[in-house]
Parts: sequence; structure tokens; C-alpha cells
Amino acid sequence: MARAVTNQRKLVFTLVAWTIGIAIFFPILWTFLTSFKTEAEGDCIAPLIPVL
Amino acid sequence: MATAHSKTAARFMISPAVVLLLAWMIVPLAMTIYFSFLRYSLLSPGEETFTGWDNYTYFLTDPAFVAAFTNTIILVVGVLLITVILGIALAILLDQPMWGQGIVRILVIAPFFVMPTVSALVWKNMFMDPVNGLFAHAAKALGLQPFEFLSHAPLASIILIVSWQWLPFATLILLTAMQSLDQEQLEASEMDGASKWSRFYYIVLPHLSRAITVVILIQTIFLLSVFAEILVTTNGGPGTASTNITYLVYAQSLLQFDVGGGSAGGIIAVILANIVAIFLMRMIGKNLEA
Amino acid sequence: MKLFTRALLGVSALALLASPALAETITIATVNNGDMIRMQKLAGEFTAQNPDIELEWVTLEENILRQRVTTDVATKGGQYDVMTIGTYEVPIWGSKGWLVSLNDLPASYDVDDILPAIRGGLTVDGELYAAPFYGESSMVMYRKDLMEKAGLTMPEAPTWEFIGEAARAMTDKDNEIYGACFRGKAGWGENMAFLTAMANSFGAKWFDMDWNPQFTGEAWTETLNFYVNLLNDAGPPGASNNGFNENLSLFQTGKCGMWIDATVAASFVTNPNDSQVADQVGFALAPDTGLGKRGNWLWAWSLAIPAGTEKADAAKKFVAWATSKEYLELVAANEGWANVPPGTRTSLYENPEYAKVPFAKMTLESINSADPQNPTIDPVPYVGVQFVAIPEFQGIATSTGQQFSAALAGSISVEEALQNAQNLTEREMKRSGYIK
Repeated sequence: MARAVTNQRKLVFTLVAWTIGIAIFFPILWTFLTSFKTEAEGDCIAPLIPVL
Repeated sequence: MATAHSKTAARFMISPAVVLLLAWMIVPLAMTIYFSFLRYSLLSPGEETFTGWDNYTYFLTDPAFVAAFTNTIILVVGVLLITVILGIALAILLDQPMWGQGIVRILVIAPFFVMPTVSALVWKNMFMDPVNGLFAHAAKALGLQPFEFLSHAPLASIILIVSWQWLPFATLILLTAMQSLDQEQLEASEMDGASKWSRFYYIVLPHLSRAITVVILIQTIFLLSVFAEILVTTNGGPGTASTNITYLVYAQSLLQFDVGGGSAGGIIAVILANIVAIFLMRMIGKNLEA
Repeated sequence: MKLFTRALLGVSALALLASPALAETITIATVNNGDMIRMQKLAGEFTAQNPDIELEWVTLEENILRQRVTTDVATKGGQYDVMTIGTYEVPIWGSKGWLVSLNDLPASYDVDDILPAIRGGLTVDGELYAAPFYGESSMVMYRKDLMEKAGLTMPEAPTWEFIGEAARAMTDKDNEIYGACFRGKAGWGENMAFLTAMANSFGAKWFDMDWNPQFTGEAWTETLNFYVNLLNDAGPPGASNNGFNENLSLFQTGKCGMWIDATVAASFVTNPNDSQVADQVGFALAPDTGLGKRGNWLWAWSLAIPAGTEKADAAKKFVAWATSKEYLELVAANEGWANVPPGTRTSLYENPEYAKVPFAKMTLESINSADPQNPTIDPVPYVGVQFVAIPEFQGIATSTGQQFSAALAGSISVEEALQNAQNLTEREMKRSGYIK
């Protein structure tokens, strides 16, 4: 029988896993964001939200 | 029921495939061995002469050889330690119930799909660069001096880049192994009062041992031949601090179109890889039996 | 209907018979630089003039191109009829008899119009073995505003002493301004191109007349000490991993006071779309030490015809077209004068239209001050300014480059680096049979 999972436990795991997941994915995300920048903007660290 | 006759027929029928496979493997290997005993440069064709062990002694006495050998071992062991330990932790974490599990798994696995040259370029120019890199910006924001990763810790930086690429593979294999773990066994042990640590050490870890063996064996094969990351980031330098055997073969032989020297270097690399493989199989290979 | 089919068959049979007589296909291997891509685009002009020749292109990245064409020409593979090669390959291949001599090009080609320094680099024993497509040298690119702030004026032909002084005066590490951005990444085409050219101006050389390496000599010691000290005082952090592209981005983002690199970079740093400092860039000749040689290199991507080809006449027609004066005018008419392949013909620099391009004059003077036949102050047995035109050079220079980048990173001393370079070069030269 599967164990009943409390919502609190689930929340903790969710937070930890998402933090680590995003940390690992971050280089790819950052590369993607930089691809929208010009040569000069590439130098500054503020992430640029592409304007569509 | 197989009779002696039908067995012979079966062997006869699979023989073309076996012969083809054998030829596929043996012919290039035999030619490489043959070339490795020739003084054969593409730039002076028609002047090939037999030189005996010259190419081998030349490669083995290269001043960079010892450094390249130790660097190769450090690189392989370092990446294996990082990916296996973090891989186990991640596999256990991703196996827990949570919201958005599928998306988190994709995020973790994504680096595996980035090509080695691309990932090396990204890490070199966007993260580790001491002027424009993100790490440098972070250090400056904290009032620290930016660290020159690729000049002062070249091998460690390459280990970091390669680990980032291979962590998803380890996680993926170990996660599937985790999913086949019997939950009831864990619950039973919990009721018997086993601590979290002993449950991990006596139930989870033994269960994962076969998957860990697979991860180590497969990764070792690929990690022995890491090349693109080194070529893109440091060109094997500074000095020989990040030169591995593969890069040494490239620099000493292929750059000069020296077929003989390159073949000798390649054969030495094959022999070294086999020695490593024998040790590995002795140490952990028994996990694969049964 | 039947008749129609037959007629159709007849026509196609005729066409099949006729086509081999009409067109000859030549295969051209070239590098994926902007200028070469442009040539490919404009090649319709050539096939319109020569309907009996068809062109097939193989466009590759520089290192892959070098491997492919070297393998092809050495094994007489015959895959290509025209090859794009550099000033490093031409003297080696020419003396091995692997290339078709171009001495018999028509008078209208005006071979005497080719810049003498470039022509010298492509000639072996009086035979021209390749036609230059574009040529480049290296020069100083500097920030006028920072120079002024430091209270100095850049002379047109600076000395290394002045460069050292100016670089240290311009440097402001707190604001991330670094006076000296030079190549430091190991590689025969990276730091060794820069250092070999620089060493020439310090009176150093790779080999003496008996092919003995000279790294432990005084001139190389002086060169490497100057380079390492200057970059430690006034260079960007992590200089030992910076190549052309890394320095370009540092300069464009306003972090470099001076950058000594290829003349083609001038068009990038003065382009306001890419460069934050486009309006503040000045140019000067590569520095010297008053000994008579400057620290600038010379390179020309050139078109050559391998000796194995059966279509040498068609190939020659194409080579002559792509490197002709008419081609330069064709590019100018289509894309403007700033995009004309530079550095090959005197007449281009005499053209008043081209003189308006800001870096034209300095490029020409830089090219003219390099002499691949006599690259050093003392006589040497080799050809080549920033390289030694022997097949072994790529491998040797990559290994020595690693040593010098280690000296720059501070993991070994300058003396150790030079001693290691000396040993490994000597070892390789003995193995290759140069030193008996």
C-alpha cells in the first residue's frame, strides 16, 4: 500500500527539486536569453526580456 | 529441438554477419597497428619507411606524456565522483512525490542534449570569463576579485563543464533504477525501526549498485576521450595543465599530419583504456553478474 | 502522343550527348569567411562570361578546410580543382611540386599590380603558385579618448617601449580598463602568431641557419619577459585564454586601451552596430624596437590549383577572375568599397574611392612593412613572418604555445617556458631530420 503523503512534505520536495532543476538548467536558459541581445547588451548582466 | 545438423546450419547462416562485424572491427585496428610502425607523414607521401618502435618511444617519452596521463585519470575520476554522488542524490529527490515532476525532470536532463563544443563555449565565454562572465559579475557584486577559472584551475573548470554535461545521464539511469525499488520493503524496514541512513545504505544503495556500475562503465568510455571541451576552452594549457591523452595525440600527431605517430598514440590510448577497463571490471564488474 | 514521347526522348538524348561537350565542372574548396561567401554569391558573373564552365562549391570552416585540402593534395585525391590556402601552405606545397604554377596568367591580369610583400609570400623560386584573394597584416588599434586621458599621443610608428608605457598609463583596473589586450591562448595561429611576429621585432628568430632552435637566446628571453610583464601589469585578467574573438569582444565593450591584432578587425571595431567605441578608434603600425623589423604579421588567403587536376585551364580562368581588378570593382558596385577584399592589389589603394575607408592606409602600410622572405633581422633558413613554413611547424608551435601561455598564467617562469620550448622543438627537429 502506498503511503499517504502530507501536502507539507510534498511542498518541501517540490521547492527543493525546482530550485536544483532550475540551477542545472540555468546555463541553457541564460544562453537562450542572451541570444536575443545585441553584442553590447551581452556584456551587461540584467536579463533582457525579449519584446515581441 | 536443435539437432547437430540444424546447429551447423544456424552457425553457417549467421556467419556473414559475424564475419562482417569482425572485419568492421579488425581491419581498421590492424591497419592502425601497421601504420604505427611506419614513419608515415601525409606531407611527404611515398616516403614511408619501417621504423620499428620509434613512434611509440617518441610518444611515450614526450615531456607532456606523464602530465597528460595523470590529467586523464583525474578528469575521469573527478567527473565520475561528481556525477555518481550527485546523480544518486538527484535520483532519490526526483523519485519523491512533488508538483511538476515531469517538468523538473526535463530541466535536469536538458544539459545532456547540448553539444560538447557549444556547452564549452557557453561556459567559457558567458560564465567563467574573468571580465564579462557571470561568475565574475557575481564576484564583483559581492566585492570579491573575480577568479580566473581557466588560467588558475583549468582542469577543475573542465571537470565542472564535463560533469554538468554528464550529470543528466547518471541521474536518468539511476532514476529508472529507483523506480523499480520495492516500496513495501522500505516501509517494512521503517516499521522495524530502521533509520533513514540505514534504509539508504542497506536497501537503496545495494539496489542501485547495478545501475551505478552501468553509469561508471559507460561514462568511463566517453570520459577517456574528452576532447572538444579542452580544444575550445584552454587548448590543453596553460602549459600542459589540461592536456589529456586524446589532446596529446591531436597536438603531437594529427596537427602535423603524422599518420605513424598518430597511430602509435592511438594504440597507446587503446592499451591504457583497456588497463583502466580491466581494473574497473575487477572492482565493480561483479555487480553485473547474476 | 506516341510521337510526342519519342520526340521528347530524342531531345533529351541529344541534350545528354551535348552537355559534356558544353560544360566542364570545376570544384572549388574555400573557407567560410565573409569575403569568400561573397565571391560565391557573385560567381554568376563568371559563369555568364564562361558558359562552358560550371562551378561546384565546397565551403568549410578554416581548420577542417586545412585538413581536407592537405589530405587531398598529399594523396593526389583530385577532389578539388581550386583550393583556398594560406601563406603557410603555399611555400611548402609549391616546393614539393603539388601546385600548378601561375606564371602564365594573361597580361591583362597584371600580376605586377599584386602587392610585393604578398606576392613574395606566394612565390617559390620565381614561380607564383597561388593568387591572393585577400591579404592582411596586424596593427595597433587604440582608444583615442583613453590615450588623451593618459596624456600621451600615439605616434604613427610606435616603439614597444612606448606601447609598454602607454598601456600601463591607460590601465585602470578598478574601472575594468586594460591597456594591453594581446593574444594569450595557446595555439600556432593564436599566441604563437602574435609572439613570433613580436619576437622578429626584438631581433629573435625560431632557428639559426642550421635549424637549431633559438629560444634560450637573449632575444627570445627579452621578448617573452616584455610580453609577460606587460600583460601582468596592464592586461585583462585571464589573458592566457584570450584569442582573437575574446579580445575583440573586450575591445568592443570598451575594456581595452590597445589591441594589436589582424587588420581585418578594424572594420569590426569601427562598426557602430557592434562596437561601443566605434568613434574613438585610432590605428598605428605594429611596434618595433628600432632594430629594423616591426612586429606585424602577414597572411593572405589565396587560390591555388593542385597539380593533379585535369581541368587546369578552366581552373586558371576562375582563379584569374576571382583575384582580378574587375572582381574588386564588381564587389564595390554590388556591396560598396568597404567590403572589397583588401590587401592584394596596389591599384586598389590608388583608387580615391577606396582611400575614404578609414583603415585603408594603415592596412596597406602594415602589409608593406612585412617581408615573409626575410622575416627576421638575422638571416634564417625559413620563409614566413608569424610562422615557419615547414610541415612540422603546426605541431611544434602548438606545444611551445602551451608553454608560453603557462608562463603568462604564472604557473611556470619565463625561463622554464623558454627552456621547455627549446627542448621540445629540438626534439621534434631531430626526429624530423633537420638537425643531423
